[in-house]
Amino acid sequence: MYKSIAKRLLQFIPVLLGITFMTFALMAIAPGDAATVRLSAGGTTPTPEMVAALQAEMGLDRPFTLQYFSWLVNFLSGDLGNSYFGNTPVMDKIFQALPFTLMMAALSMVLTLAVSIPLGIYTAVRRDKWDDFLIRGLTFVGNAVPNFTIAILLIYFFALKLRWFPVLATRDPIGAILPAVTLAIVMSSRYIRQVRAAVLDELAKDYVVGARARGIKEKTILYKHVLKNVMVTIITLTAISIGSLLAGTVVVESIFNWPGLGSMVMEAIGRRDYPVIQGFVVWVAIAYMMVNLIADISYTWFNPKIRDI
Amino acid sequence: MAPLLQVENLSAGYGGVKIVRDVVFNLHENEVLGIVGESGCGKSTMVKAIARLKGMNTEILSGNIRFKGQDLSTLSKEKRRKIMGEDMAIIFQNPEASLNPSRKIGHQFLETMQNHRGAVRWSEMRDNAAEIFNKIGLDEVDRILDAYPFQLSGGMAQRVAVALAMLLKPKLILADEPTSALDTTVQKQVVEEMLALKKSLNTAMIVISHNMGVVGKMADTIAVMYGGRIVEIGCKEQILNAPAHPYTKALLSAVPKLGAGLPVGLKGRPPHFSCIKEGCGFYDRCIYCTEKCASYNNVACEIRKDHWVLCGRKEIYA
Repeated sequence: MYKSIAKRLLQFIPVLLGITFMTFALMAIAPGDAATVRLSAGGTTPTPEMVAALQAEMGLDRPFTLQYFSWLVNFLSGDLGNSYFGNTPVMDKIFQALPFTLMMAALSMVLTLAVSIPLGIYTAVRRDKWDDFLIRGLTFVGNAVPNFTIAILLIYFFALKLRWFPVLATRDPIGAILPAVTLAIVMSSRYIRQVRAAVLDELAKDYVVGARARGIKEKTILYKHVLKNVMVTIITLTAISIGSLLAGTVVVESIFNWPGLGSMVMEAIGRRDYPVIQGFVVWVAIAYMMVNLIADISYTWFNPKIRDI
Repeated sequence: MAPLLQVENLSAGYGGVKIVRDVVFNLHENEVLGIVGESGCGKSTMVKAIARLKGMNTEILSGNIRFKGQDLSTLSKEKRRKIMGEDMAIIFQNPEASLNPSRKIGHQFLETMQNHRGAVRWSEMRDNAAEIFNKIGLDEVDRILDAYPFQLSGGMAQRVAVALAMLLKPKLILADEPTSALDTTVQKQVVEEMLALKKSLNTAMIVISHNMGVVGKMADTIAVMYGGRIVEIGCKEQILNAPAHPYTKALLSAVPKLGAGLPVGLKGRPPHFSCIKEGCGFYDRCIYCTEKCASYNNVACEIRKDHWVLCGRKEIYA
């Protein structure tokens, strides 16, 4: 087991190399460049000579493989470089945005699981009864409505009308609640259906009838037998969600003006701020791989047939 | 003494299709009833109708089932739950149907005791399990209790499932083809173990099997089913040695015997349940069939003491 974990950690290296190289290549192909963006910031159109001079200064005139290698060498010595704008170290920029992203990811994930596991089980047990239909109808709406609509509705009712939350509270933890609820509504709508389907699947298995034949209480069957087997599904879902939450949520962050990684990277892409984009990609890749590794490890715990990862 | 289980005019089925028709029998304490018949004769449905667990989807269309004098259909869910496992247990065809593959066997034994006896400790459960394991010759109690079901061989897992069904010393065991999924040598072992347990715990059993050898070895009474009806019921010796119903005769002649050449088979298939209307269900395959059999509704007739036959042509067995 420990050997497999070590192996998986080693596998991170080629994946990281591949991903960072790919982003570098894509950015090189993409139209527009950092020097032009930087020079046009004042509203004037720069002359080609000015652009060429700045490109040379920034090292953008070198072949892109060379640029990649110099980035890689710096990265291996722990330096992600500086942003083209304001010269802030990329590391600082990421660590500035990260707490906000982590806070919102944690809050929305906890909310999602707290709502969708009980409701998923409940709707499965109440299959085809009125409350099952009601909840499934709501999840259908939650799936269909885009998250910015939900965000605006929440702001309208809870911030404007009821005044429970400030409309904008960019640095205050209370400002994390509405965006987290927005994300949780969207995610729960999907989760409830998936948990319900998994529970129904599990309840149809032979061993459930077998447990009833031994006079095991329905509650015990549900929480000790079924839930344990459904956990594998829940972990898979959670791992995918956490992965994307850790990358930041662009739309929701910009609506609520939440200074997370999503806002950071959107700004960087607009300005062709390559070092920041590269730094972000490294973080996302590591976050995804770590989350998947942890998910795989926890599978062995819930499904004893999976002995190794 | 009142019978342990009284089945009165039971008709049952799934989703409105009647499978089991007008079944009547009594089962006394310590008695083993073997139910035989080819596939699709309603054997399993009858047992499912008795257990009627959520998920089996059987519905009782008419008739009564009394267990220890109580009408099972009038009991509350909670009372029925308490009966299951404690007084009545089921052995399924596959161990996968009895045991959750992702929970340790010991936990499944423990929770069975806890759900009926309140706070039970692991050590107490272990003693109980060891007692049963001992009777069926399973050693390594702790290794088995600490294992997951998929870590045991099929035969071993089925023996554990038998032990689990017997754990609370129920009065009645319903065994639906308990040995069909096992290879022949393990079959024999499991049959012998079930008999040994039955002897020491005085359990009554209903054993479904399409294996005449298993039924011949285990049963005191044999019921032959065809088209959802019991067509013949009586003590084992009479059914095996002096079968009266044409179907029983055909069934017995289809049992292969060593050195006797090929057994005589019976052409055709049992009728589809939705087609059965009236008359004898067996008439289209019966060599004694006459015209009136197609419409004549048979009435069970006691040809000897406790030996009942459902056939309108008395002259063939009288």
